[in-house]
Amino acid sequence: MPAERSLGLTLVLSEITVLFRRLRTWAMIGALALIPILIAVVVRVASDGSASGRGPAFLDSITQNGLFVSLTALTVAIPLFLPLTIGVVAGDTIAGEANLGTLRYLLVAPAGRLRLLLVKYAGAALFCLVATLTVVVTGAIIGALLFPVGPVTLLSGDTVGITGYFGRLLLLALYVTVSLMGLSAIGLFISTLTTIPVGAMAATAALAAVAQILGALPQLEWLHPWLFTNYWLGFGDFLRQPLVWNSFLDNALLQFGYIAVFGTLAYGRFSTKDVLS
Amino acid sequence: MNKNWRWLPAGIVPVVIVTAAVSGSAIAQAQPQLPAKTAQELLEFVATSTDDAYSGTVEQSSDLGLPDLSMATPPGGTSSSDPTSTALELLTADHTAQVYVDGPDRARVQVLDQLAQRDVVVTQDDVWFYDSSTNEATHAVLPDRDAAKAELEAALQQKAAEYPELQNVPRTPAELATMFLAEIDPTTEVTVDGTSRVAGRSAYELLLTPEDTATLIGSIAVAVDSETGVPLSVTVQAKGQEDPAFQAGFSAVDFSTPDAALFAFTPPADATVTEVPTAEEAKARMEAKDEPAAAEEPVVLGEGWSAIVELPAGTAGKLGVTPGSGGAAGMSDIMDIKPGMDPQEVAGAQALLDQALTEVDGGNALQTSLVSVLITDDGRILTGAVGVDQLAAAAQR
Repeated sequence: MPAERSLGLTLVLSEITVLFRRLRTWAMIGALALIPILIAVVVRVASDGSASGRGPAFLDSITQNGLFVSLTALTVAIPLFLPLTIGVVAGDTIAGEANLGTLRYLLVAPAGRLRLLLVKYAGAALFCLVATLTVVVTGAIIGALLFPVGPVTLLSGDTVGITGYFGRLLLLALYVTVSLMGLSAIGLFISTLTTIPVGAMAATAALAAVAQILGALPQLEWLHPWLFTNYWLGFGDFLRQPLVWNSFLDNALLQFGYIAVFGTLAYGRFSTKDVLS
Repeated sequence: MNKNWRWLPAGIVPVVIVTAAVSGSAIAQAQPQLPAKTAQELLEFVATSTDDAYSGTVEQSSDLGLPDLSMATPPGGTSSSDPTSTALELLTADHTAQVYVDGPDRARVQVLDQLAQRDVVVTQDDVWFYDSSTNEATHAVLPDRDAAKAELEAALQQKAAEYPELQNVPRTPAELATMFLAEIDPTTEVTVDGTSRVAGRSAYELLLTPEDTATLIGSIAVAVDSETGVPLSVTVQAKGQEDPAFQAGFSAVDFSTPDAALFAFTPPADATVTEVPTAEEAKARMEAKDEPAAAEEPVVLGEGWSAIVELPAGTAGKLGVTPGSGGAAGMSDIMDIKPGMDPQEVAGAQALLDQALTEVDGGNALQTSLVSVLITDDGRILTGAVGVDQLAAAAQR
């Protein structure tokens, strides 16, 4: 079936092209890039050389080593800005097409609904990676421009060279991307429920907030391992020597569970619904 | 056309996940079959394991019936400059740590906090402590082990000549185990309570049950690895509480020798390094200052599990507690509030003490599920693994 496979590939490519040709996508990526720039500039302007020990993690280390800007920016972006942008992209997947009236044309092509879902999900997943890398790479560049750069001190007190540090940063970006896959699957499912994309986007972003609030309540400790936000800040494990993989594996398993549950739910809903628009 | 089967995967997946989660914990609770061992044999087995090398992940949790301390401390960790609050935090909050052990001389413990880490590195010659959240390192040089050992041996030989009964100092694991059992037996029942599975390994359960009715400690269970004799987990049960009061154990363990580079610690270039004075230096400094040794030593009342330690009058005063003032206002001083501390932090600590301390007859008391502390109105501090009423009775005497 080479023809069908190439059709799948064409669909993915066209989906990605459409996604990254949108002004909205670039506006969100620009907003994400602003986070590390803002942090670095504020620290540079207001720096009086004293470490207060307050504020987001790694903030005090920035003045000594600009490479920490990426980490501070990620810590700030993970709870709110990243879920917000992922909510917009994932919530728009099906509902956006339905709203524009293009969904039925997509289904006229002999692609099948399952394949369309997979293609849409692949697009959202790619956006997760691009969004995370935007924060990390912009952070590293602006940090290198404004502050001295040198070997990086890890959480365990060991020091790694710049090459080793960039290897870890890439792993870290991968970790954060995987962390957001579960939320993307939830967004995809919600998107199949409605033809109003804004509703799906808001619901997805709100769910991320709700999960984090539940995760902050010690009374609900039994629930915490089941929340998709539970390991979001576990990326610190890649800053230890030796590397600790526990969080990564637990997180991957959890996110896979969310993808399986909400992916099949989205399939059940999307393949049985009457597409009228 | 019936399309309902397309919902089928969405029904199956949650069932699979729940089944996997339930059966996973069922496997973890299965009891392995192991050759029977007596308590004596098991203790000998533990004593032979001190030379072993291993590494693994330790999970610790506790339920002391105290208010959650994590709420009172600012996010990002405690102020590690205060050793009391660090110790409290380590004991009362849940933690995950990576542990690397290579024989009796070299060990490294990494307490994994969120986006932070605390490291303790022990080698034959020195100890390093490093806290990533404050970027502070503490270094202590250990006294020369071999010299100290030789000195001790010589002293023992000398004493042994004077007192023949000292010839029986235990030297082998078996002798150690016998002595331990003989010492502990009058107050404690030591049994082997079946087997269990810890970190995927089969283990013997050594159970210590106090026969003393006064103590708050219900039992202490130690899981001993069936192949190596290394203790894998410790569980302390409190009387009248279903959940363990304290639990620490491996969730994963590996019995291969850890990388030697792990034990060579160099503090980061920009870290603040504090040197701890050696015992001789400290002694010399004390003598130079001409400070009298502590006038009154702590008194131990009773023995065994229900022993009560009484710190003499004036201790509470030294800690800043004003006798008789009672309530949180006086108690807040005990937290060692320094000028320049974050007012929010101070308020949090005060609220915490307010919650934790209760006023009782003759003073203020802190009751946890394992330990009680009584601060009397005349400034004595009594503590022990018994109820507050027993502390109060001891204070009357």
